[in-house]
Amino acid sequence: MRTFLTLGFCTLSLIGANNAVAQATAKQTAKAVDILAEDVLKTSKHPGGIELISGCDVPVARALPLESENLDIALTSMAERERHLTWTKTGTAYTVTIQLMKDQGITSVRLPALQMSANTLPEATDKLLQAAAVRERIVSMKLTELTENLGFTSINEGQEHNIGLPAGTLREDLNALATAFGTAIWKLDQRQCGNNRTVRISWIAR
Amino acid sequence: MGGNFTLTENFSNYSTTVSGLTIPPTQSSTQNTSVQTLADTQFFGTVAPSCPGSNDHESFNQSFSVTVGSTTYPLSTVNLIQRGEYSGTFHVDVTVQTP
Repeated sequence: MRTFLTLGFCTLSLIGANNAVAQATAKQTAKAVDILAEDVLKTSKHPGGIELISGCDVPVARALPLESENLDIALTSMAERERHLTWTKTGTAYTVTIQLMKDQGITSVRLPALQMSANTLPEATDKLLQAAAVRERIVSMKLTELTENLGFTSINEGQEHNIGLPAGTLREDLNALATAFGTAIWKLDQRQCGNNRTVRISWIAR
Repeated sequence: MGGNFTLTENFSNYSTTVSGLTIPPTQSSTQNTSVQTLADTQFFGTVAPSCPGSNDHESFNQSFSVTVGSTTYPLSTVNLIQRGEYSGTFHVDVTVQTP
């Protein structure tokens, strides 16, 4: 095990250690909507992301998604049952949005075109999150930013990726990173619970 | 282990001294340990220029499963991870709870 200090953060770190969307039909589930959406997206092996904008709690999903090998059909069935859930597809990337509060998600922030090189998804994400527009949105919404658990480096990381991002939203840029690094999936968890307003962007599949 | 497999980390028994912090989400990654080392980066921190506050820390259990093809194999290993600032000292401890 090796310990190192990650640049760009004031932190302590430690290094140690195709379409099949198989789900049961219309059975009750004890899983929260966002967790179920994660499962569906991960199983599909498509790049993309999940946006969760919520209060303290996320409701349990009404039912498991329709059994289908087609992600479009699975997500459409989820959206029909879960009225807070919408989804979009751009290229091969899917974005699932679960909007339980009226707050605007920080992923709607518009960013200028950017050319970057990065070895890992957290490194690339950090560059996006340091953009002035993102910082301003976080401050204006009085959000406390929770840093992500970096987790395991995947086989798709570790070599330099040169990525050209056209002007667009943070959401579009994250999807571009997800696609550039294979079939990665990001998650925005933006919550207001009591006086706590927090936001965290994690890579839940990489 | 040759060939691609999916390694999934699950977290449980989360506790923290920091208001607003929540349990890390379940994460999965594509691995091929015949090609590269399995490297887990554990992290506790804040975005610059702020720094973790005095005695800010968190702890949780980390468990794993491996998926090869469509079959998932739960691994028995459970780690207790404690990370952050403890009375002025930064550290990350990984304690094997179950080998």
